[in-house]
Amino acid sequence: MNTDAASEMRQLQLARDRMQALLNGLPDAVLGLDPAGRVVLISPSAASVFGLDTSRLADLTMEQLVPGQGLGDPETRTLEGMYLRSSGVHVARFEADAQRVDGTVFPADVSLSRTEIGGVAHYTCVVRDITEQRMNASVLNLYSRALECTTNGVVISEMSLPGQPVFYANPAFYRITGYEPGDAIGRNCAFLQRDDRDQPELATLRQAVVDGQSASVVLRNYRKDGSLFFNELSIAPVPSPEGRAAHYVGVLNDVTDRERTRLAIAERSARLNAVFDLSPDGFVVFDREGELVYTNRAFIEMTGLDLLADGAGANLADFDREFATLGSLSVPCRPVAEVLSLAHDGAVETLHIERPQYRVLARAVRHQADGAGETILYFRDVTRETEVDRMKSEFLTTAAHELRTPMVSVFGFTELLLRRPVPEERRKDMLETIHRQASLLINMVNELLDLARIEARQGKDLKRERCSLGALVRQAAEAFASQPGGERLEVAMAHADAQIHVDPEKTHRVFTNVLSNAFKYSPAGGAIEVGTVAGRLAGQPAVGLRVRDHGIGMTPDQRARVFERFYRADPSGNIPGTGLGMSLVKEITELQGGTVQIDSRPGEGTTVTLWWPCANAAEPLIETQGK
Amino acid sequence: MKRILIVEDQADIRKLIRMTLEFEDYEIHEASEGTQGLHLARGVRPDLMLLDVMMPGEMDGLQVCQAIKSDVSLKSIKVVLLTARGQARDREAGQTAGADEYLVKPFSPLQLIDVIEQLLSVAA
Repeated sequence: MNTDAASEMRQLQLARDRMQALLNGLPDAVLGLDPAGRVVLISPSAASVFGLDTSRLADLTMEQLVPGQGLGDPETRTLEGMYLRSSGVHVARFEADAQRVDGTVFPADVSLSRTEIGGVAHYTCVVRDITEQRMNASVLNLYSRALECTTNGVVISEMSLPGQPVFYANPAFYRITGYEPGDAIGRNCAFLQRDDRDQPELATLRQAVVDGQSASVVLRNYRKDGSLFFNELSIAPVPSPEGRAAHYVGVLNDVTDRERTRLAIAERSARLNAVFDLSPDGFVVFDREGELVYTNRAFIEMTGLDLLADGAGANLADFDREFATLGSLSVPCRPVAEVLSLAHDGAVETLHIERPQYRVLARAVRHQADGAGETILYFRDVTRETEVDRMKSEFLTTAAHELRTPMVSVFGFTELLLRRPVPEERRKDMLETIHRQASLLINMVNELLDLARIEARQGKDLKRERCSLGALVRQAAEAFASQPGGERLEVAMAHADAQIHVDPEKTHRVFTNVLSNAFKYSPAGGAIEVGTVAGRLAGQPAVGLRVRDHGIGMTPDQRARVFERFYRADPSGNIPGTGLGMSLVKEITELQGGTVQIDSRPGEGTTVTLWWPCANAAEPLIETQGK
Repeated sequence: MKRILIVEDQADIRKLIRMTLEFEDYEIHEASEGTQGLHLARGVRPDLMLLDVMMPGEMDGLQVCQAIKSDVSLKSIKVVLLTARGQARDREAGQTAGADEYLVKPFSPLQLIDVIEQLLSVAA
């Protein structure tokens, strides 16, 4: 053999070796077939793909390995397939179930090709095991089905494109938002907010995207028809191989019902809080752990305690301690803790506090054993009611005493006259005493009833008309002028023509009472001066009727009590009187828009001035020489 | 003769009691005010005192009663309280002050005589 032939042989061998190496490297099974479909050549990988024993290839047919695909007749099969003009190759490509030697079946991608070399057809079959591919496809399919079926809306946005458009949205998304696929795909999903851009949650979302993080917010979104729904949106990044977030997945949940409920509750709470804040009664609430959670405005005003002001918090013990500082040391308030421990809650207790000012408070403690376990305190300011009750009680006691006293004489002397032999001169004295005391009693009863009636009717019974002050005074003075001591009266009214708008009968009573007092309280004599004076009352022109005596006068203490019911400067009975006269004067005068002014010095006398608004405010008071 | 001291601020009532007692055989003394009454009690040493409860001045009837009953030299004096206050707690107050009897106004003069006689016969 010459060297050319030898080197040609070597090159061929080299080429063949390279080919072999190529074949060996293929993961796919490559098999050479004869026209009858018998396997005549296999790649090493073919052995492993099919589990073949390379020593036993003798009767192996392609039909055995990939049954039912017509691989027993490769000529027909390939000529039915594609023809590649560039290489002159016929290819049949299909998927089929392949079979290993041990009988196991696997899905395969099969490619059968026919090459003509020197007029002779050579057949090659490449089989690729696509089990994994199939599985992946199956799993993907599963995921896809899940996305399609879930009730949560899912969108996927492409972050690398300008505007970060949505490129996928599942059916639930369309169902929730009312949009159609054409509306959403390609748009940034911010379109769901419409004009409602003022939501703070949007900033949270934006920041999360910038940071490549997840986020979960509740947004106000709008459906295609414009209706509002609350979107609980969770977004999560899907990183690309480089690490940046190539996509963002958004999961939508329609939480409208939940949000509406939450808002309704918040609204109701605000309303209740407003109601509690308007209430004049105090409310205090502790939660189940005994922490103070609410004190309303009225409570803070009542007690001056604003325990939640500094934000530091307070509990029941703090409350009891602070509240105790308001009361007096001698009459401490029962701590709330004690009320709760004794299970006395529900009952109303009366407390007295002295700071910030004296108040009487009715307190009720209620503990909600079930439910929220809260403790609620209720406070009502009953200072005035208590005072009024006390005054009523005191009045009744005094009235009883005053009415009974004259009866002692009436009853006592009458009994003596009936049951004992009373001498004649004594008899007269006793009868006179009975008569006097009975008269006093009658007066007292009459005045008391008048006072009660006037008070109850609050002036509705007054028949007011324009009266001449002078005329009324003269009428009242006449009764006294004709009595013994009447010469002491000196009447000189400069404004006798002044007109006042009063009930003449009741006002006559007023003048009578004042004149009567003037006489009574100057037993040693002296002039009783009656005159008028001009002045102003509440910015309006007024006329004052002045009655002055030079009698025993009053001390400042007596002066302070002169209008009290039954109050008498001399209660011993030496100066007779019901003690109701000045009460009546004050009541009637004030109900008619007037006021009573008293000036007095002990031992020097008393001046009573009754001020009346002029009936015609426009008319000036004319001074006359009238009497 | 037994001595009786009347302490009452109302003149007509003092007169009633005095005239009532004049039908019996008693030595009668009068005061129109609490402090004066106590003073007179020490001086006169009555066997029995008729004390009005509601009196103006420094001492009211209850206080005078208490003073009498807590004084060793005076506590043997019988005290009858006369008052227009008839409530249960007023009677209790009288009892606490140590009164021997409590009469509500208006009282029957004849009943008063009976009460006085009873109290003084016990003492005797």
